[in-house]
Amino acid sequence: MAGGGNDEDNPVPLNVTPLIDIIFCLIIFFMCSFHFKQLEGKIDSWLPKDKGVHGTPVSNPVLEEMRVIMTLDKDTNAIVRKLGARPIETDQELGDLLVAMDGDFKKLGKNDIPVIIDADVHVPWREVINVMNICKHNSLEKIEFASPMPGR
Amino acid sequence: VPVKQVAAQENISPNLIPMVDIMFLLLLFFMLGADMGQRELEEVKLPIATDVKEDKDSSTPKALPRVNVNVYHDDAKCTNYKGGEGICTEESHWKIGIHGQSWDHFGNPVPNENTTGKILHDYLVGEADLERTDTTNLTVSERRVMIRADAASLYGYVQRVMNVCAEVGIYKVEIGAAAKVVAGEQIGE
Repeated sequence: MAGGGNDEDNPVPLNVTPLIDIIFCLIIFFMCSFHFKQLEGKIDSWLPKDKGVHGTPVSNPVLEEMRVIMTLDKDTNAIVRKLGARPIETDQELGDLLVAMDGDFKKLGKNDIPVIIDADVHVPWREVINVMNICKHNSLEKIEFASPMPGR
Repeated sequence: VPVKQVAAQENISPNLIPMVDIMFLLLLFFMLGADMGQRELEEVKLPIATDVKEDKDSSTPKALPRVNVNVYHDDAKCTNYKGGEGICTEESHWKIGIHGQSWDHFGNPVPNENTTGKILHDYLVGEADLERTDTTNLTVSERRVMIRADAASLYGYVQRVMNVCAEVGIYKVEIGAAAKVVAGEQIGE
């Protein structure tokens, strides 16, 4: 394609200036509108068929649980996380504690204890996803969302 | 020493062909790399997660395409949003969007050119009714829903969408997240 040659060899010279103009315009358009495609994934979170709005009332509720409570401190806009009553500072600490609790439950033969995410409605979604991600990362697949409190 | 000067008059015309070649390559790169994927109109900055599954189309040939529910921020002047990094608790700034239609955080329709005027619950009933294939339990629908909520959206809004899904019998709910790929790992591993 890129070949030179004398003008004498090419009796019909092509004026490439308009072509270059148009290509420049196209390049500028695509450069300005360019953004890299974000790689998207998904987290399956299938809702239970027999609980929640269609469920029957639980007659004998199980109080053994791993409940991650998340609230928003409106003064500082900080997220306060607790595992049960214990305050959690870091993601690593949360993951370690969840794994330890899960291990303790499994030693007692309780393999089906879920992690319950009990977040305030004002907590940003990314924080909830972060906790879900920590659970998934530590192979804690059974995650539940606490049902909203009436009036919240 | 006398120097003999050669009177050379060269015809200097730049060879534009290599430049055109390179420009064509650039053009191809930008055209092929441009993200023209349809996001069903709303711009959503998804939360980042490392442990996400690859978003492959797992629907059977007979199944309908899933419903994408976008929870998105709709106020460009808001200073609290900060491109998805902040916390915007102003309820009127948040919308729920499906197929170009919008609802407020209560599920009431926001008038626009695509609106059907249905509340969110009724709209999702219509979607769920399309795939109530389990004849033994007609309250349950096999319709799949992907919730694409903005990273800064409040949990209460996502919770509301999930609640409506549960109310109408949609249980196959997926949550959209941006994949943070760690070096050396592939998404879904």
